[in-house]
Amino acid sequence: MTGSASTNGEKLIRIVNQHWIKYVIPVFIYVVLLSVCLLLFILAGMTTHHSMWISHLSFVVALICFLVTHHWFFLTLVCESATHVVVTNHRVVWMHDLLFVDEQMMEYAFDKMNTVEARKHGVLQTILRYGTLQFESGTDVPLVPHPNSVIKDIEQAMGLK
Amino acid sequence: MQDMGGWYPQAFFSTPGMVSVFVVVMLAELLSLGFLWLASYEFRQMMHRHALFFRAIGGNGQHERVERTSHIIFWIYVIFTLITTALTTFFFVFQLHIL
Repeated sequence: MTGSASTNGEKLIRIVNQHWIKYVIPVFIYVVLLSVCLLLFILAGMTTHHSMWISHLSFVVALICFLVTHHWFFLTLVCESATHVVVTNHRVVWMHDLLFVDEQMMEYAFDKMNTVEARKHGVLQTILRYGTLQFESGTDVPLVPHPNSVIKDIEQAMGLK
Repeated sequence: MQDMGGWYPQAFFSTPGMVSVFVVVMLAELLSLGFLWLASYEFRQMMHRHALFFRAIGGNGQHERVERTSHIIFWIYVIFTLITTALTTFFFVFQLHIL
């Protein structure tokens, strides 16, 4: 993906979304918590004629647990889907926003670094083809799909290849 | 209690426990909708920041393709929240025999 140059000569080279594996843990937690909520709703129904207070309590807890789980899950999905690694001819930018909590834009300027590495660690990363971008300074960027291809573009932008 | 086709609005206020449950449930639903509105505002702000950034680096229009997923997920979130709020309120109000 190439783009037009901006007024300061910066040109977009590539935008990379993180690997889909990042959605696996939130989905797993969501399914577990939804199951707990469902069990609590069932408990509320089953205890209705035997113990009113248990029924009331389990209904309220189930509803609150369900609403919190629902909002947490979808906000996590929205934030994760809005996380990008942007490669330009001047820098790499890792955009990572958490709604209500944090907004991060980590910048790795080419004039402050000489090398960048891609690392795939373990069987899962090798099979699913994702890995970590390691810069000389600053935080590593994890869960990058096809990291070697991204590194190639970064090195070309840095003029190393 | 007068038969109203299985729905007894008086039952919400028949015991202190039912009143408490009614208040907590309605508060939870309202808070949920309020949170959705806040999240919607924050999401629009985030998308605006991203658009400004991409414009600054000459990527006008290109980010729309990669951020389409975020928009789709967000609309699913909005629709699901409205549906679940309506359904849970409906079941609470009209299925009092559960309680």
